[in-house]
Amino acid sequence: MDKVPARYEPVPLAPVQAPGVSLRLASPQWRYSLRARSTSTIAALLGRPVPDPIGRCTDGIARLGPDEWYARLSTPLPPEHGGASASVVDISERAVSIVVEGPRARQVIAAGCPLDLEYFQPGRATRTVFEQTEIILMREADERFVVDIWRSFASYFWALSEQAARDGQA
Amino acid sequence: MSGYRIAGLGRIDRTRPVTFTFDGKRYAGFAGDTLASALLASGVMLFGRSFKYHRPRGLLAAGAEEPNALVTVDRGGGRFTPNLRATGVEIYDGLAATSQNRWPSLKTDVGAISDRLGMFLPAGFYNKTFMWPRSFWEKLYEPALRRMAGLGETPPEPDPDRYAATYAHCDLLIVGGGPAGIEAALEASATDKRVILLDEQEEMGGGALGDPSLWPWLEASLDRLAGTPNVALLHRTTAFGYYHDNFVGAVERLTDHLAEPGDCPREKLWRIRAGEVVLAQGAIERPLVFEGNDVPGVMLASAAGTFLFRYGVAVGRNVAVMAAHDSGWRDAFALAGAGIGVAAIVDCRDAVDPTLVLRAEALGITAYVGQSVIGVLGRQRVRGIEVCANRDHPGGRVSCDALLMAGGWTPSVQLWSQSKGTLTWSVELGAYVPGVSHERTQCVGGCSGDWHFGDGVSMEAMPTPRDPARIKAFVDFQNDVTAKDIALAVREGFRSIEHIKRYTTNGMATDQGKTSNINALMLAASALESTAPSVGLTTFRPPYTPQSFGALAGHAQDSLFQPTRRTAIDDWADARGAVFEPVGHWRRARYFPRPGEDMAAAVARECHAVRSAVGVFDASTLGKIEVVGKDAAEFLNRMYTNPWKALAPGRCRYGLLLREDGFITDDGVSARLAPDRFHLTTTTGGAARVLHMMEDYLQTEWPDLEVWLTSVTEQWSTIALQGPRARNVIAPLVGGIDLASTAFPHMAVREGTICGVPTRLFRVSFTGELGFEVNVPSAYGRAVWERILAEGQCFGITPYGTEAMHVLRAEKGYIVIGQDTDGTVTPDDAGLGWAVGAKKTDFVGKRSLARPDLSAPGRKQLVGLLTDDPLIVLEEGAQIVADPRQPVPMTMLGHVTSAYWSASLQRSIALALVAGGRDRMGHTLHVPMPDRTIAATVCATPFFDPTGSRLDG
Repeated sequence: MDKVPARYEPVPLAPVQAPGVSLRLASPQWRYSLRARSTSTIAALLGRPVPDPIGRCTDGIARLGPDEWYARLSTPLPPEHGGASASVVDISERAVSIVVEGPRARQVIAAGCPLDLEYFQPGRATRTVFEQTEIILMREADERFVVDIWRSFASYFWALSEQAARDGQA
Repeated sequence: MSGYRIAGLGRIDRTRPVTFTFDGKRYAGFAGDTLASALLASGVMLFGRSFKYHRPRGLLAAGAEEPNALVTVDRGGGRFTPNLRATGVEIYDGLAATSQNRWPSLKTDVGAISDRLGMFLPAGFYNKTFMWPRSFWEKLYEPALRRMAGLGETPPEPDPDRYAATYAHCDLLIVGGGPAGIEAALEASATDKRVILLDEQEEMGGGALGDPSLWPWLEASLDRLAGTPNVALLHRTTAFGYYHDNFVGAVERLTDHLAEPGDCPREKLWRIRAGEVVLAQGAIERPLVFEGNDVPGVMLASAAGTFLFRYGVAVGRNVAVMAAHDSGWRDAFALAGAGIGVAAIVDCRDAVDPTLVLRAEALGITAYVGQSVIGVLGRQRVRGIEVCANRDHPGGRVSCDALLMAGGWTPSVQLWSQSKGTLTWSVELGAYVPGVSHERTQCVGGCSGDWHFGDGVSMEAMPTPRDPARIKAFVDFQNDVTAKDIALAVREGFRSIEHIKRYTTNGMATDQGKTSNINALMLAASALESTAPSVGLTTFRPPYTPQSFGALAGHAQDSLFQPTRRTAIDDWADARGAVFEPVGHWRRARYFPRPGEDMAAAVARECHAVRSAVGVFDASTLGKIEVVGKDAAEFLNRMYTNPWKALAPGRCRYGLLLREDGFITDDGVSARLAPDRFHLTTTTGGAARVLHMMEDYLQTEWPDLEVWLTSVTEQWSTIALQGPRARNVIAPLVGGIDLASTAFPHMAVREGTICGVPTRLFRVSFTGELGFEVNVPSAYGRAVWERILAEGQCFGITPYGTEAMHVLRAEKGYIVIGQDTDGTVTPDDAGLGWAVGAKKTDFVGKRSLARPDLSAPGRKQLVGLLTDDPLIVLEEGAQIVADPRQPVPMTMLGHVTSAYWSASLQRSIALALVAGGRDRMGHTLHVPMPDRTIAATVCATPFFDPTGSRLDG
């Protein structure tokens, strides 16, 4: 058998560098949609604490809704989940992560996202929209946002945020 | 001194001269001038021709309310903007502006003949006159009228500019940067509120810009605001619309004022959500209604003040004033103080504040109290006025070169009204003022009716001894609506101002009645012998002033108009010259033409490859939903028409999904991966809809079920291999899966690897051939696709597109949701009765299927249709009749849903929905087309391999 085939990414591998802000594709990760009726079920399943407030993100796991967590991990979860009352679905390749970073990162996100980012401080994560597409928005630091976007929409997001990054200089 | 520029006055920068053209002629002005002020300074009075009568028109106003001076600015290369108000166009070197609605020139306009014919062209004349013959309206009357009566031209080329957009949030949004808005911002600057102060002009200050005594205050205030980090100032930004929950749309003009716009976006759309909104939009002075009030040189008194003190331009050397309000006197005094001759102040009131009269006397100005202007001398500019006492009518003439109207003030309540704040009629002001707010909004300054301009009266028209039916006293300058048009509308029986507006066109077009609404209302109220509030007020709608489509579209332009979804294999197909078609937001490869091939040839070749060897197809766009939980089978059993509980892990089933009304909404093959885990597929277009519908049922009807849905459409690239050689192609690539027919039968699923990456391998067929669908994580879709192609070379593997896919499935009689169904087709209608679990107690749509009309005889049923001439391919959508000789309109039995050339059968095939179709087997029906009628015979499907013998290869 040959070696594992090459990955294909829907956006350029070269970052965009505009004054005050850069866009780049994050490295591949293991992503999971975790569903259960309680935080404790997910915590027991993973063997580690997970965030309880909706919209909070800690150590790569975000609570997106009453029964929904979104994990971005550097190692895969074991395939068997011991019959827990939960749903674990591998969505590692459903989306790509685009990192928007720099003093003007917030401005680029605000170009298409209707959230009030003043109230979206580091450690927050939510499913929201960027113009006509759905995204999961995470703020990792004051000047670093991560946007997870489904692959087929990624080029739209990339082109639009690149334009916003360059236009904002005016 | 050139023209009317006054030394020492104005805020223009005399060290920065600017040259520009108007109607091709060169003019000079200064930085800080508008097109209006610069042309006025050069003595230009004539700015445009009116909409209907082509009357010469000059400036009425100095701001956004200007109805007359509409110009086109053409920057070349498609940068073409019609209907700009000259009062809002900032000049720059090289600006090329032209006047509108005139031919051959502004001074000599043959269209002005309609002014002479005015008595034959009353309001609504075209509705009454151009009725017969009816067929002439679209081809002759309407185009001719539109050419005659017009605003600017439509831009002839695509707009090359880019437009930016953003969202913004603030605690306090202040609309309007005049004194009231600035005061509000200063007050908020001491708090920690996030404040946005926006103003439509290039400079903050509003009315204060025309009052030099306020300039020191203005400068100090703006300095303070500039040093306040929580206050953002937006210049050249118009708040055009006020939407729910304090959501305000605004457009910032970024480059229209620049000689070199560069590569910047032209405008920026601001979508602002504000905690609180302060509207400080000011008030607009009202014209007065009398004969000749539209002659160039007749303008608002406040505008004359603005032109003089802000721009250093006199609107005349010897002006007269027609006042119904004290503010006109004060403007006259200010002009006189600056050295402008004031020939007369005419005031229609019988008595005015004696201090005003004394002041006029002191300045040597003749006051005509209790008198009115009844006529204006001059056609293309004012030469004098006719004045007449309101009683007894003795009169005389006064020479002057401009006439200034002071008809009182109208608060700018447009945004307030859009916010659903109520309006109250103020008898004292003769205007609507803000009442009770609906949002967290307040009005301050002029737009709240709070001003200190003195007193006045509201008069619907100036008294005149002349026959009102024979004079043109304009109410709406932009739409050429006269006082007698309003009277006519009332005589015709219109009572509501909304109807009077539509009959007369008063308050329409680009200015939306900013200067005309209240005068029209007063006239209507008077004619109806009623009061203004009982006649009403027209509704204010966005935009406050005209905005470009580009700005409103924002980012949604060209390739970003909407997202184009592409699969991981799209690039590969593009590089191979694939022809694409849109399917929802996706673009999919339709066929892969080789050099010299047309679509028919390419599709025939692709179909032949699938039937004789192997074809490969990118099916990644199919919707996929992973259904997980102990109740997963129970849930699917309730959703789909057929039974799911007994499906063994590792097996697949065709699922048919109905809406509550019993009609088919989606279908797809789904697999049970484990007792508590299913991999569903949906149609490409139905993916989002099906997930939404299932979530809806889960959350609202069956929250007790322990099952969760996750869209995995984009987790997996799906590569369909179809054809007798399909197994040979993947055999060397697959790991951990026994591909033998006995171990891996049709409609089964296996998990393993392909090319070293994990796969969910389905054995399914949408072609009738041996088939596999290889699902691999999307990042590897492209590489696996290429490896499969390389492996298949020796078998003649052929990529095929959606068109061949359609032909192949139609040969097998497989339906496509949305093509062979239209939302009114039941499972039985579609010939899919076998997919309905007769023993099931319930599923979505079951109850509706029991309704008598859903099983009544004569329903349209999906059947095959073979043309008598095998070479003719029917047209999809074509209607079907039993007897083509019946009179028109014929009784239509149904329509063709799918029709293709079948290379396998060497003839055309079609599917059709036909009333009572299954009872018409073997009958000849007819498809009438524009050029011929095509005979076709009803038949059963599949057309190809009816026994399904080829599924095992």
